[in-house]
Amino acid sequence: MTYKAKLNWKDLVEKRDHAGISRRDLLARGMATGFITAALPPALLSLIGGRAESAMLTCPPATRAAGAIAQIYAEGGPTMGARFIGEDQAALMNATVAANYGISGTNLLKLGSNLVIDTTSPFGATIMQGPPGWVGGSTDWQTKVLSKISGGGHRGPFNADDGAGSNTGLLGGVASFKNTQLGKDLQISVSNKMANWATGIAASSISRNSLTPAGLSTLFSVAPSANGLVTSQSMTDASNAAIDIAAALSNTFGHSTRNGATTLANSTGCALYGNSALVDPAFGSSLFTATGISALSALFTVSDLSTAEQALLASYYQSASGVIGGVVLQLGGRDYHGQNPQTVIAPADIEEARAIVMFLAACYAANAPGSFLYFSNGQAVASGVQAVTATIGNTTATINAPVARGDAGGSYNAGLVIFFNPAGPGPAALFTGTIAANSGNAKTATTIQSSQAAVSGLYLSALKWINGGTDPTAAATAMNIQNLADVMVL
Amino acid sequence: MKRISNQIIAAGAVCLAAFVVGCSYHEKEIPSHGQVGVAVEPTPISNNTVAQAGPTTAVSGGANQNGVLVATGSGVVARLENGLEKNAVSTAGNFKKSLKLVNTNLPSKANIQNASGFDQVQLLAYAACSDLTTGNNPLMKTVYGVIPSATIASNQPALIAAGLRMLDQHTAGLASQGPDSAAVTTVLTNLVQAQAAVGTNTSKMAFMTVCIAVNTAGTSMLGL
Amino acid sequence: MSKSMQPPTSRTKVARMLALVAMAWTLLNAFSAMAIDVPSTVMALRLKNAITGGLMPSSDPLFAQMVTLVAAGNVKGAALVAANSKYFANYLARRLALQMQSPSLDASGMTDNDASAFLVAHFVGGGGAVARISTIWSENATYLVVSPSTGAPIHAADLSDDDLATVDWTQMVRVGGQQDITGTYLPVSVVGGYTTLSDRANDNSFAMFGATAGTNLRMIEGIWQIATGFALLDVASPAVEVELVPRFVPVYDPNFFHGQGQTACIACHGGGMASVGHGYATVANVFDFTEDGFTYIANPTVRTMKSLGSDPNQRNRNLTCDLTRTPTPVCNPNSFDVDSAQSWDVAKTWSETGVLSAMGWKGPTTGKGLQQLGYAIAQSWVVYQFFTQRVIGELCPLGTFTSAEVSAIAASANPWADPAGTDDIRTIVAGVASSPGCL
Repeated sequence: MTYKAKLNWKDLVEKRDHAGISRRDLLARGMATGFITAALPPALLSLIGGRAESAMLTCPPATRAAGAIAQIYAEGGPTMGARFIGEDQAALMNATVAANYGISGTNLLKLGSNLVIDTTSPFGATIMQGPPGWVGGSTDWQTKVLSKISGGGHRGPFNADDGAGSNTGLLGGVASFKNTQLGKDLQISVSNKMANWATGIAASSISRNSLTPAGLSTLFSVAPSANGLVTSQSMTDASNAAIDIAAALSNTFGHSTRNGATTLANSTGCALYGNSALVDPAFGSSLFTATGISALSALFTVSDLSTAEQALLASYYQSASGVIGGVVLQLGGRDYHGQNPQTVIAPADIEEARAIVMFLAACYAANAPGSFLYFSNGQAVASGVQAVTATIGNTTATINAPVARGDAGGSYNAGLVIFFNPAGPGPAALFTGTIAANSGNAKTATTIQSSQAAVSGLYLSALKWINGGTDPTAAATAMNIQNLADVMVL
Repeated sequence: MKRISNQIIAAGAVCLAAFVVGCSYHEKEIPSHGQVGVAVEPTPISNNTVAQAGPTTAVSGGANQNGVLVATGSGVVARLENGLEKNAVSTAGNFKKSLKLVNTNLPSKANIQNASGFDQVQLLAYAACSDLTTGNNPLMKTVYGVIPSATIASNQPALIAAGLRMLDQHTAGLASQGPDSAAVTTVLTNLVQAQAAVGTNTSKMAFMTVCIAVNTAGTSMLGL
Repeated sequence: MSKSMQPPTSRTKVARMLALVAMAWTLLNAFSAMAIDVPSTVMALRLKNAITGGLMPSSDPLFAQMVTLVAAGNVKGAALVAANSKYFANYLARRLALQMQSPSLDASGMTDNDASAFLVAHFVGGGGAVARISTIWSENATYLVVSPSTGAPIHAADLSDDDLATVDWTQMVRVGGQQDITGTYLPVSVVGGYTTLSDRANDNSFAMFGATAGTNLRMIEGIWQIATGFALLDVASPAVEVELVPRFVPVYDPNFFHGQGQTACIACHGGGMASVGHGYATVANVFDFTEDGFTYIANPTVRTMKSLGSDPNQRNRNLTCDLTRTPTPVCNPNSFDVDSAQSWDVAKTWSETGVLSAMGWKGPTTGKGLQQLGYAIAQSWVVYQFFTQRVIGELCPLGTFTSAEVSAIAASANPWADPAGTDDIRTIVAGVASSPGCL
């Protein structure tokens, strides 16, 4: 199928179950997996003669592949032990380890296949509570959703303290590797350096201050209103003409002998096609108004979420539905050692856990697999816990917040990935690295050469999971990973 | 919140006046706030040749000697303005409103391998072009000769000429006078005819389509 | 038969033939006159778009000048026309300046401020001062930009959106001295050129990046990273005395002396950019960036000393650093802490490990205060080499340069070199742009 067929986004919506060409179709037709080719019309091809090859675009098909991928990057280095840990860490738990991890250590609970939380930590309590008004309550949430997760990670390599780890490429993206309608990721307040392989990935960015349903609707729309100016088709025509003009002038500007010319044609050309969908003024709001998404509101009281949480929920849902690629969220203020456990540390940990709750709820509503990645550029070792009163959603709870003492990424740090399987249980996944029994400190596995390799491996694992277990070889090539087994946890 | 304002602004105004008269700041002695390091002119260090420099990395962008370049940020905005000969400007109208929305998403890197945001360039071009269609006597007519009330077919020559004119701004005349001018004209002709073939399309919409196409291409797709 | 319908006479036929030939000849000459010099125009377009970002319209007479120069084989001259224009100041100079507000060297999201204005002035000259790379980290001055709407000199952060679109960054006003947010003039010795300029809170300046909360480690690390292009780990070394590690780094951390799967703490904090002796003393306890803005601390107390840690409530504990206490304070009892005279000694460790050689360090290796350090930094070859690399990254990131070419271009701008370079980044720009491996 050439890209220039007269499709608009409504076609994709109405034909959701058979959206465009599936990867299976492409393979059956013997075409390169994951790509379709756009070619110039024959008349123009003959006009520019042998430059036909330079006019070819290869764009990822605008089809919706179900499966959500999201990442949190916690800038600064929170107390990592107070998030998810592995069964091996739970097994050796003692007072020293618990203190270092900033958890009570006596309220451990396994969720799904292999992840453990402390149910009284801010993080754990939030995960357990689930979304507001979940039909059946938190017990039902735990049964229907939390039982279907598993996780893995790479322990150790995420740098000794936040300064060394800052801007070392701990953020990624998936738009180039996942078939979606719009062909781009959503980045929220991303300002730190992306992984090398992710720096050119198509994405729309929004700040956390603007993260509301209205903000996202505006981001995914055209201004001024298209009425009387363009239609989806005429916007597509303009995109095709722009590509053709660039191709026509490529000889004048010597593209055939210039580095990056092919990437230029593909990146600039392929980026344009998603704009046709934005012409419809209802497009953005229909996608990102969570209260209007029946699959979500049937499960819990979406309107009880904050507007930022609603926006995040809708974003995760659209990632799960294949409209957008991944959702990458950078959260600052995590360099919180020495700060107040009640007013600073607990709210920060709750905020992150709430995002994961939104993610899991979105995947469940979309009946789609999900991979949630978590990285930080450092970590704060703790000296035990402090009982605090915190608000989780609209619920007040007494929980045990970490008393984060100082930068000590060398004690325990990890990049984590959480998998969700709508058909349950979560896939068998690994934690690499070893844990010292007396302290809980982590030692990096020898197969993980750097934090950048760890990031790549976890992203590859995330892609593999939503791709039904197929190794993402194209992504691995882009990431320059030769031996997938060294760095992946699936 | 305090701000340094009155003292330094006043000093600045005095200095501006003095500058007009011709004061020099290449003083060597130390005036009231100390100027060490200011304009202390550097002097070459004997035998400090390039051999004294440490290693630096070579640059290789690929198999070819040269590469393409991508417009970034304020460069994108300026190119759109220049493409439209400042008939639409980023400080007014829809162009201004759209820029507020897309500014942070425009390409920010000159290296195509690391750049993204090209979809936003098209959205900005869309907004800028729309400023040429507003009002009772829109610029699409007075500057480019495309009559909104006429049919697309009758406007075809003007539409193609408008496209070439805008593209010429981006290419210093190479669009209409270069070796590929015939191919470019064919693209624009096909585009206009495709718009004319849709009965509900107007000349305003055809103008928009041409304007968006040429300015998107000219701003960010030529590798310059 | 009427006269008009009579067949043409032979004389008439010849006349018509001649007229046709004359017309064809005229048209041919006209076409030749209009014929575009494609290769020269293409090259000039590349130069214009790369150096001015596309701000210079092709209708500007300067562009025609560039085409003519390229046609005459003078690509460097054409590049200089673009680099000496206001368009360069408004685009690339400003972009490079905004990038230097943090070590990420990314202009995205950055806003104009006193620090970036200072840098633009040092790139293109301003307020009567010539362009000067060598005093970027040391000049004791503030640069104001002339408002296009009022004609008055104002702080860059006061430019409205409309002003930003029309401001001419080559027109600036220089005022001696630098003030903090309280209006206190910084003593000369603590001035760090653009790094100590900030006139308001939330101005996205380097000072805001470096001195907000924390320990000000970011400030000195940022100065080194931005000036040299080196990353923290590039210059780290564990072969250093524990006394040179700041007091707030826990000596009992299992990774302090020997990293387990990561770099040892002492390597960066003692042997690297964050070492007490490599400039941290020049910034640690004298600056802060609060919700009010950039503040100079003339008389530090234990409570204000960031060299004792980021948490003011723990600084007394870290000062005494009694490791027998419970909970154990997070500190290094052996640390010298920072010298109140703000001494620095870059030869310590870096001389033995070759870092100074790698930097092409030619200035003094010891000194006191940030201004002396900043002035010394800009005497090293690496500053000019890194600017050259950055300019390449802007003009032709996918081009081809040998390391010798990079160093040669750096030499052309290094005023400390023998023969002296121009101290002018536009020399670097023209040198890069006219290199065969660029455009």
